[in-house]
Amino acid sequence: MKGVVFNLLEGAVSRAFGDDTWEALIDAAGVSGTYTSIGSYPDSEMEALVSAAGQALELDRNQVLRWFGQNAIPLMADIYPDFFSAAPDARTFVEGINSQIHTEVRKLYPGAACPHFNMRSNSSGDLVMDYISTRNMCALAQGFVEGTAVWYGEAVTFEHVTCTSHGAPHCTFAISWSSETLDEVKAA
Amino acid sequence: MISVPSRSDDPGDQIYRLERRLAREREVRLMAERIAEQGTRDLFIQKQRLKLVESIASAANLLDDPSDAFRVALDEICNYTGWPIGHVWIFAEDQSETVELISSGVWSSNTSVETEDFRRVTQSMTFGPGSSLPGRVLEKRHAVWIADIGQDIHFQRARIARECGLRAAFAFPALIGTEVGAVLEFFQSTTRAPDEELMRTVEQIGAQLGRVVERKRNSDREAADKARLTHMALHDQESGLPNRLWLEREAAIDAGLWVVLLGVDRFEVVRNAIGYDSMARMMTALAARLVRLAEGVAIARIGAGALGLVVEAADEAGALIIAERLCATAEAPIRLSGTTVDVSLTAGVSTCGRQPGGVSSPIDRAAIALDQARAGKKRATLFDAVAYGNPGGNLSLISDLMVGLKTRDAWVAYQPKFELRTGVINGAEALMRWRHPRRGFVSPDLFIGMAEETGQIRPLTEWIVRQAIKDQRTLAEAGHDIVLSVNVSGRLLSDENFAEFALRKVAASNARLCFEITETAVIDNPEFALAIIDRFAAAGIGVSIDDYGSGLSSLAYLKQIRADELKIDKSFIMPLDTSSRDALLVKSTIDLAHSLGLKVTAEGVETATALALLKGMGCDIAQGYFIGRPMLIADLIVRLGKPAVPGVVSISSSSPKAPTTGSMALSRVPSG
Repeated sequence: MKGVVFNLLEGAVSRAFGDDTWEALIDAAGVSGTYTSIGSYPDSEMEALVSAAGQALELDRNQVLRWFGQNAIPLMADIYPDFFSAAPDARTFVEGINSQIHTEVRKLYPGAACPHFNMRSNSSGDLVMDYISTRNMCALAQGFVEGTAVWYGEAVTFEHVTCTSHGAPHCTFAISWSSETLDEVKAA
Repeated sequence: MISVPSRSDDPGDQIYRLERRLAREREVRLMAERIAEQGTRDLFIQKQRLKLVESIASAANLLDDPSDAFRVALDEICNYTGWPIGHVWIFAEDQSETVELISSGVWSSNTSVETEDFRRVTQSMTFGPGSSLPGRVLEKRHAVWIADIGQDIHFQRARIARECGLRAAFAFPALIGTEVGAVLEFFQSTTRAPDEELMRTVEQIGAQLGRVVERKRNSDREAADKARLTHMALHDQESGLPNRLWLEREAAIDAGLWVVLLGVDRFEVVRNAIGYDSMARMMTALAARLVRLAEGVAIARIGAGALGLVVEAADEAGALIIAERLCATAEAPIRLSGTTVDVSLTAGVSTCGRQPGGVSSPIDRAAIALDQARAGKKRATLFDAVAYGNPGGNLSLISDLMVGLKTRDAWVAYQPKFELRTGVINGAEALMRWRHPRRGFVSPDLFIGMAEETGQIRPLTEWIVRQAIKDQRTLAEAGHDIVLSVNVSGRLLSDENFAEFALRKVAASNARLCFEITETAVIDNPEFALAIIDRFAAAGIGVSIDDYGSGLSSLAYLKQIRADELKIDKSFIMPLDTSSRDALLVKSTIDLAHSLGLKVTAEGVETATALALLKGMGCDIAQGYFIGRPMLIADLIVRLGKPAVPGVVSISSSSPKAPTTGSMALSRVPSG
């Protein structure tokens, strides 16, 4: 896994819980903690950090990953403002993951093993997305989608239709966005 | 001076300082990461671009058809850029008048259904320089980018492009040097700011594609040249009809097929009456009539006055009936523009394929049969091998001549040409002579005319050229380096085969030859003849205008012919002693020729008086019995070893002006 993901995790944790929490996580996970964005590090170190965070927060793996995805988006928007300015809304952003964002990610981080998303629309116009990755981090993807909606100020409904953790060959999501803002949804 | 505050040992201060340092260090790390990421990204892009250019360059090396190379380029560029559609504009085949780009019909592979209308509209359009996207590329000869089709007033397909969801475009030229060979255009579904680096990359690709276009052009040109040469070798240049070589191929198979040769009777009389050009048109008109009768069988022009074709017949009688019917096509007068010609045809018939006996070529056999028919005053006859082989029977003069070329019954005689200024023999005209084994000496006028009629003038002239080259070597070995002149029939000025033969022979031997041609031959077929004459001149073969004044004369053509020499016809020179009118004509002709930069040779110089007069008029060269009759090469060598014309040199030194008489000094007439 590319170091940039570790950096994003560090950023998200430090921003929410302070630098000391990150230090504590490193110690608890028993990982080196030295990550640069362009380096590659074992997936197992990420899993160890996620597991340590889960124990500390009393959350399961998927909950940690989803939280991480949601909180990584504002950090990404700081580092890669062009990704966000190129798409006018959250759905366009998500639809451009394969062709725009991962294409660009591969230029910045040669050798990055980005997951691939097969996308189509269902009868009600929702975006149906297959997540295919050996890392089984579908919850991270969900967190990213939700974080993006927040960044664009949109409401999103994310349905995990099938999941590999329930024996499916791959995960499938059904996603719909609403032009109503999140605040409006909460208020309602 | 900056005053540095003393460091506090307070733990709180220490922690604060460390946290600040940590934050700085983190900033530094993040900045370093961004720099490294940018460098990695640039390197990645560079490598990808290099890969793109390389893959198209290697396709350009391998592919011969530009369309194939375009397809590779469209797909590679679409794949690389993520732009969904690419298309190629090419030039229409016929670019004689307008330079316009048309659709090649070649698109990138993965075009979507949604863009079908756009593609259809595109394929119906054409663009000239400066017009819309392809036209601007054509004019500027480099890549052009349109960030937003909706904002570009020059883009002509804007409406349909918008309807099909296309927003941005770029295009670049396939360049051959600085010339545009094709234009490639690409479209994207969202607006895109110009990418200068991409434009530079695609221009590199354009140069690679230009190589394929250029190679194709060259190979097309070579193929066309080859086809044209093959066509020329198998066709008569004057009439456009197939020629003897073509008919020889047709007649090579022996399977119930007969070759019929149809000769225009009194051919020379007809030709002299209507001219070479009309003769060619008349032969074409005759051929058209024959084609109708012979149900589409192609008719070849075998000689100036003979046509030939291959027909199917069950037996000899059948073949003869067909031949007679073919002859009958000439019964109705032939209308040419402004004139009507009455001619009759005689036919010679022979079996196709090889036949035992002396005459292997079916066309030669048919030509002999034609002679036999004329001698027997018949409309058509079959080749009669017995009569041909029988010395007492009707003999084919022309085929005897072709035999004579091999048996030394024919030879070349040389008539010396005398340079008046220097008083030396500086050239000789090669003249063919033939003594028939039974008939005796045959007049050159007769057999040359027959050779012209039956299409044998080329082998005859080629034989003379070979002899002249050989004899020139003999002369050189004897220490005499003079130019030898060969008469070249007007027919041969439209014969590519002869031109190639002559150029090849002269190049191989370094021979110093001069070709004597008549002005009439050029007037009749100026375009082709002038082109061939230019090639002769360029190859160092001298060109002489023969028999000047005897036929049609046109100053306009005289100026166009790249000649070195003008030969005044003997009919003006012979009466020079007595006719002041001819003297005036000759003098003005010499002046005219000189003003055109031509040397002048007077033919038919038979007296000392004529020679002296000509010298006075500024004539350059004299030829005639007074200088020397046509003689064998051995005699010419002896002649060259003696004083050219005794006495002439003394005139030259004593009297710069033209003497009215020179009989005293020129009393000794040379032998020969």
